[in-house]
Amino acid sequence: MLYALGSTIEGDELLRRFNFTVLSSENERADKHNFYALPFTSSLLDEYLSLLQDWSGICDISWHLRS
Amino acid sequence: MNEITDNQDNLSKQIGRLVSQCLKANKYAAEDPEVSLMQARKAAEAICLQIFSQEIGSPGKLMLNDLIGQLGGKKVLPRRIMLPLSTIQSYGNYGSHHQDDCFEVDSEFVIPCLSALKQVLEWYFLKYLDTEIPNDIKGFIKSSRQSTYSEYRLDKNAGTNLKPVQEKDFSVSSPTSRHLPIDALTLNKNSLNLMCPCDLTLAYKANQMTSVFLGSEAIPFELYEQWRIKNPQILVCLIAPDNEVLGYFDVFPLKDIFLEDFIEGRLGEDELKPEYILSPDESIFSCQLYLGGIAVKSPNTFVGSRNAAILLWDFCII
Repeated sequence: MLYALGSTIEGDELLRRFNFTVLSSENERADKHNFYALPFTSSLLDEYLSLLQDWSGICDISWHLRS
Repeated sequence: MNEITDNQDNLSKQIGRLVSQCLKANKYAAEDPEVSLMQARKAAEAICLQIFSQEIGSPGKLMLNDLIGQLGGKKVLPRRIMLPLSTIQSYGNYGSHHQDDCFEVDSEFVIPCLSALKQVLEWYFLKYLDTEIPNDIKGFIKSSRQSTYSEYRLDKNAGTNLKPVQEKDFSVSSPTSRHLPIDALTLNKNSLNLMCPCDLTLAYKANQMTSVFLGSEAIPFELYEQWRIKNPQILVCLIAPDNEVLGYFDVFPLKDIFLEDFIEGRLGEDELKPEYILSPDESIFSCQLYLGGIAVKSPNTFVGSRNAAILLWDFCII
């Protein structure tokens, strides 16, 4: 499970666009931010990757890619 | 996410067409100068349309003259760039329409127009897009006005057809290169670096970036450094060749004891202690990850948007 806190308006929008769902809302939290979760799987990441441009041609990555 | 990808694709195609127009403007300077003027005008129009769409909105059917005027009025175009744009427009109009003076446009006549185009292109790529000049037109832009003029004169005195001296540098772009993403055209291979683990300096720069967005809510660097000492792999930075931090994201493998209270809202991120973070060895089989943040410099610019797309892509492949 992947968790995230929506600390800014832009952050909230980004998380929703990635299909994160609210686990606990800002009204019930001490930090007054929405808390999100996304059940991420290998197939979900692959789906996201298919929508994103491959930047490996211009980026040097300092660690190994997942297999 | 789709929007980011679409924008990248659109800009990539626009840059591809622009490069092709510039190459044609240069190529036809000798063979067919009137075509050269028209291609230069098209290139100027393409640049103005892209900037107008990005900064103001749909340009509708505005003519080049109006595009320049409105972009200048909004201070998007500096005056020093409005001038060469207007030059290109004037020359382009001259080359496109019948002229009563029966003057035959020759290759020398187009030189001021091409020089103006070079100025505009240099500003557009280096200043406006904040990126490198596409390799295909680097030679064209970097050849100085004086040397271009001299080369044409030299050829003319020799009684030959006028041709650009370094024609090989300006060969027409292959169909493949027109479909390459913009960064394949504008950035060298591996010119950016996605770094993990990061050193103290990079972590500090990333933390400073957060402060810009979150102000007093940003995690103090002293606390962040304690987290990073517990697990140096939490932070990934996108680094420019000059070591500038362009963006970052951080991901924390958390222990259940903290996560339960964090999910319920009883604890906040600033109450995360290093002992609640799993070490790299402990986190190998962790299924509970907390995405602490993702941020880029200048998020509302093309480059910021590109850097955000790179970080999202990287997040998905790790």
